[in-house]
Amino acid sequence: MFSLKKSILPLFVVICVLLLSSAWEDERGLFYQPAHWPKPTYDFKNNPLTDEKFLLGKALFYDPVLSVDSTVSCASCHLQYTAFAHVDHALSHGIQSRVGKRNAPGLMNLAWMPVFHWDGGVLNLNAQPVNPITHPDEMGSSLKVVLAKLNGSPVYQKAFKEVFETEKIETHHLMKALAQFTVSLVSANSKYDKVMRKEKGIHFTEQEEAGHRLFQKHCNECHKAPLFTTHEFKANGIGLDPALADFGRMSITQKSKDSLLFKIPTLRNIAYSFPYMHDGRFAKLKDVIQHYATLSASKGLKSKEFSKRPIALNDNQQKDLLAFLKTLSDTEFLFNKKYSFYSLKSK
Amino acid sequence: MGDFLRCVLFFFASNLVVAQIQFTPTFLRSDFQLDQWYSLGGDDSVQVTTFKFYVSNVQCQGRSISVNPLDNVFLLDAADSSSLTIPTSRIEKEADFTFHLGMDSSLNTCGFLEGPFDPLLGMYWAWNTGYIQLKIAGSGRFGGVLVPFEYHIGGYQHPNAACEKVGVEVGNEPIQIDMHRFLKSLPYASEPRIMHPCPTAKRIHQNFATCFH
Repeated sequence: MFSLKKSILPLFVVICVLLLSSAWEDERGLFYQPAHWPKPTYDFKNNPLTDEKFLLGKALFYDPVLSVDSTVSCASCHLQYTAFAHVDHALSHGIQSRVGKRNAPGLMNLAWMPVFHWDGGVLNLNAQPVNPITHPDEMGSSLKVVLAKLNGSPVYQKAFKEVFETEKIETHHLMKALAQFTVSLVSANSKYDKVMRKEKGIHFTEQEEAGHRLFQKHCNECHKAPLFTTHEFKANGIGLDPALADFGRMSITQKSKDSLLFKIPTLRNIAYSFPYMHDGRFAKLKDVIQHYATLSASKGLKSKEFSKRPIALNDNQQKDLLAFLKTLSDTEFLFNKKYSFYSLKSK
Repeated sequence: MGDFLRCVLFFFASNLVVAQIQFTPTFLRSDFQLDQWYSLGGDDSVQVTTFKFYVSNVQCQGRSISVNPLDNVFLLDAADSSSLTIPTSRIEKEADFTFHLGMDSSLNTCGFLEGPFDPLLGMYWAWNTGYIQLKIAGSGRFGGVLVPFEYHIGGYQHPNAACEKVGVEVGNEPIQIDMHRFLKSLPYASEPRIMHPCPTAKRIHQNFATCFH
């Protein structure tokens, strides 16, 4: 009897931990504020989160109804398992295999993001979906067409009526529903986070620790924790691709000093969100590290971070840095069913 | 007491009118119409097919006509005569109005997508968050040559912000928009198309602001 109790005890403890862990998951709700993170920039008062609106937004995110020929959804270029980025394609493609000029960025922690797109041309998450919906190389549609399709759908009519109490679906209903889902994409549970939170039994390996030190010395100024970006615009030294003629931030500000500046991307889940840079120029993370590690000040850089403090890393140091960057992967986020495919039509 | 209240109410009622603020585009004292050809003098003439613009922060005698700044934004479209009238609550007779022609940076970037902010209205700049403050398009005949023109005037950042403060003293009369003066000022020959914030766009908007009286 005693031995039975003894053998059941560990199992009991495991079950309790699982239950508690599961309860913790639920308590976080749709959106949560990780400890010691800054205050979100998103205006939740203007679009209070509800389970129903979140699900409607999730259904829309995964529904190709938003594209003109109903072939491409938001998820076509933003896949959950790759940190909501578009892998295998340097430049993201939209309807009819049309190829755009930029690499679709990963989507996470958007509640803290003050500007959107590689050039910072979009300032509000609520309005952001207008761009992919109307871009001819992405969804190629118009708000008029999309709203007509949604208003003509009994399923969406019913859903919007239930959550927005409206007979007619308008632009702001659609945008708010989508934002309910995208603003809820919080990734803050990587190995790095667990180490920082001093969770029991979680430690960096020696290599990761060495990589962390290198990161703090060379990368942290732009890829600042906890968001691993300052949301500023910098020249990363890869230069202009003449075929694309993409001058980045300058196209928004019209100022020559902003030529070839692009928004600093977050490095969270970076091991999953290949390829890299605004034009997807590097297929592998090690290529990116090598680029920075061998970048000299003679390449006409406009970014003071590199011209004043070039990064020089030997092969081993590059491997250490790579090991650290992999600790930023948050598999709970990447495989969380809360963010997975959902359709109202199957309900 | 009842008589006193009636006297007070009568006093205020005599100085207040139920009013609207009416904007009337005119061309040399005639009502201006879309799609009609107008002579600018000599061999020059123009036809406008699209003409719409934003007005915000409307104030009467220094007081905003709305508590919420988001409710004090109006898109006036020559193709929709009802949009040329801004409904207000009671306003004073012989009132001085001021308004912003266009929207300031906070309104441009507020992310509010309802009513006049709806991107469906064709004034939203998706590629660079903000709104076209003035859209005017059409054709001109200059010395017998047909020249299409299209101006999307917007931007809210210094130095090219398209937002001008306009003051008018009209009492209960409509606010006239002098289209002759405005159409004569457009740079048809040098820049028949402008689609982004720039010094010329700013100048066009500033010229437009002088056409209200």
